[in-house]
Amino acid sequence: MNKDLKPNVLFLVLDGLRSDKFHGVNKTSITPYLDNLVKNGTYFEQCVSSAPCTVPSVASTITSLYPFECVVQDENVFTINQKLENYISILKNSGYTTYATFQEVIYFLGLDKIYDHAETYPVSSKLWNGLGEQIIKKLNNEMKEPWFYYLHLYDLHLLSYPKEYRLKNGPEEITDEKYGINQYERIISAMDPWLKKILDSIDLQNTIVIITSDHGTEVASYTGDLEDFNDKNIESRLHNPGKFFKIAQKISNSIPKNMFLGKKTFAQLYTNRTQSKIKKKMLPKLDEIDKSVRPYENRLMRASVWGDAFVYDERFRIPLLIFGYNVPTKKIIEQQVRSIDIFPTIFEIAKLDHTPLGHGKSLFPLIQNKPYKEMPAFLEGAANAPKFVNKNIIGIRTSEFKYFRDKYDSTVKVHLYDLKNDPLEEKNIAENDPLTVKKMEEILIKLQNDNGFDYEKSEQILDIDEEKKIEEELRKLGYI
Amino acid sequence: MNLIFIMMDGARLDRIVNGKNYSNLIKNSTFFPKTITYAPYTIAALHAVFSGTYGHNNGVNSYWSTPKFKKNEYKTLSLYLQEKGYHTYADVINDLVLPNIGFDSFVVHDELNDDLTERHKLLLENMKTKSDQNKDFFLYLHYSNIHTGIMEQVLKKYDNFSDEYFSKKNENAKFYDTLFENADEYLGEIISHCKKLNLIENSLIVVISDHGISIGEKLGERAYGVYCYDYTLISTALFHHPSIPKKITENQIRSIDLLPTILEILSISMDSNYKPIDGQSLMPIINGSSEERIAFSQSGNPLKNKQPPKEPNVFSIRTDKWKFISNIHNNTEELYDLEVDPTEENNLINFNPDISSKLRQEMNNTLHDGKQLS
Repeated sequence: MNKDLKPNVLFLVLDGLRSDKFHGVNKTSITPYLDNLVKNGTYFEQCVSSAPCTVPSVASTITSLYPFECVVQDENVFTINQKLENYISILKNSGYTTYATFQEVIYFLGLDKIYDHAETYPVSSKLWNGLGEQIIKKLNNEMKEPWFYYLHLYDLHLLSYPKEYRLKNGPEEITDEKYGINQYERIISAMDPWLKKILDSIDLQNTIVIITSDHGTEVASYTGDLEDFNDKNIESRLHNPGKFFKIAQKISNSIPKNMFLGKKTFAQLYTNRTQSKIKKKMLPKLDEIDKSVRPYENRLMRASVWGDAFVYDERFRIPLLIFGYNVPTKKIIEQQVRSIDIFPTIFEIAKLDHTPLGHGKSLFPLIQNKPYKEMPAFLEGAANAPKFVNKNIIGIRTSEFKYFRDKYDSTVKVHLYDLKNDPLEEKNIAENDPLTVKKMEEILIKLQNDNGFDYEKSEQILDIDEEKKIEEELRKLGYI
Repeated sequence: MNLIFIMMDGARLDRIVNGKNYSNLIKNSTFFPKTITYAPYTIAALHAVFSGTYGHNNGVNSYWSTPKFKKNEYKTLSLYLQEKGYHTYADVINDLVLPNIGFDSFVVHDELNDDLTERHKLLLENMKTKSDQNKDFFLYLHYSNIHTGIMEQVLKKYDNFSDEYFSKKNENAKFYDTLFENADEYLGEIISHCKKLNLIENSLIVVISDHGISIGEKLGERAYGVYCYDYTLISTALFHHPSIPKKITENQIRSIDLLPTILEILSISMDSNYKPIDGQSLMPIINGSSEERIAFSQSGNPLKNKQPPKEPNVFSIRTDKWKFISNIHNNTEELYDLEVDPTEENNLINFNPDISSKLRQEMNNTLHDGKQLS
């Protein structure tokens, strides 16, 4: 490649993919292509996300900030704080044309405003039923170099649908045990040939490819009885919104925003009531969980009944594979790294000048075998939307310990796990090791800002027009 | 009782105490010559006055943050009065400087062309009509012509590091004096007009300044809104009504204390549906108690930039004796003994660690409700 040319960047997010199911002894999927990629790139075995779900995690990754710093609560949704600089805008300023393909459901994150060209696909679209072809076509025809392409695939989310729907709409591998110990791994097996086709469409000499995820999931651990248990819970949670919901939604969409009663739409009120009904139905099931199972299984079962926003590794350990332009091959790095480090690394690999954002730290020295100090990873039991904010948990992870506690009270829900000796986080040693708790708390508390660990509300953010108006007024007053 | 609230934008204490009309008014009022403003620039300063709350709590802590005012959490002076049936009227320099809440009329004057004396006299006459119809009124009058002069002759001509500006301190002082003399004349005319309209007996007259103005004391601040030194941080407050004692209180108070004081004088209770405010009524001090009010302030040093920052980056804690300053933008601290060093020339930060530590803790407590950050 001409040394003056900038490499393209493909940023591939496989939503819900867990690191232990991407590479390593726990993996049972059949993925010859992905296995080969690991050999041809640099793989980080211990990459930690900032959040257990998509919106706060993606917002954190592209800003290198923690979720509470970069996500704005806009009434009933969380969005990326558009006022903050993010790495996509820096890429644009560096001459890149930025593209994104993601599912409709994450449109509300505000991604459409960040990329030059953003397109969405329906919830039902998966690699095997047309989406794969659509992406390949895009790569072959539309991309203006140098490009950055954010591709967010939701194939593993098929598992959140009822069994009947999964079997009808899933890939044929989903029922065949040779492709993996559970349906999650079989879907990964089904994704493998499609990922090959997609990546075969690009010039790897001239492209940095990142394969990662936004968060992990408990479902990856389910087998046999646990899959059946989870299916029963999915069925129980189903709720037909009925005619009233549709009418209310239609009415609320037709009313100007400032006319909503108490700032809530009719549909929101209805949704809240529905949530409450489902919660009432599901919570008693927590008491039915067999107490004799080991703590890890108990936790998986509880998550199946009613998602707790804790910060255990099954939600936070994500794969990170980097390969292609200027990336060493056959390299596996065990050291803990963070999702907020990914973009600084891309910039250094691509040799792009920039002022680093947020708290991220390029992993390039680590790739080059240079000394690299492990950074503690901030963890937040953040949610995709305010209605799910029922657990306020924050914590810190090092390769040795995991510490977490209530967001507002350092003495509530205090947990400490020895990750070396207890990787499944089954034995809370907080009471036995107050010194480590104190040390971890000291690291954690330094990360808060003026709002503590709270999200900013959108009414506190100025929109661009408002800011221009203020600028004009300040100019008149002589301050600018 | 009516409320006539006169805001003398940018009036310096050292000129106020020597102003002919100011002095006459001070003799007949309770005067607080050391009213420490929350912010040494109008926007954040007045939001703090009107909410009785520091900007880091009320949302307005920068030149840019007027729309962020937390109107659902803090009830403004104007809303208190409007809800009590007052006719509320504001004549302002700009619609960013006050929370536009609770005003029946919120009018922006043309600081370059309007004759504020005549304009405000006319407004007093209009209010008098309301008063004669047994309707209490709240009239907010913003005297902006000191700002106008500074804007035209300083802000637009020099930057914060202009050698020319900082080399002519005497000339700067003379120019400021001219602006202040006009301000003092304005005040005299307005008070005379109040007397003429028989508004003195049934009106609480409050006269404040929002901040001082540099005449070139410290390189890096050609006017105000940069540092937290006393020449801009000290504002003033004056309460005038026949029932209010005539006295001068030398102890420092805070601009956030004005709201609860006015409400107490007007016998209006705090609304418990809103968050508790940071300020406290000054009535105990007016009635003779001697107490120190520790003051927290924030400013936004633009450094070499051409516009003020979006977030404050200079914080200070002031007591009657000490000033502790934390410069967030370069991670430095300052400590001054104000009794022996009123012009804040000798930074004692390395010589008095106990006082520094105590004031740093005080700042942390103010900022984080008692949570220790570092």
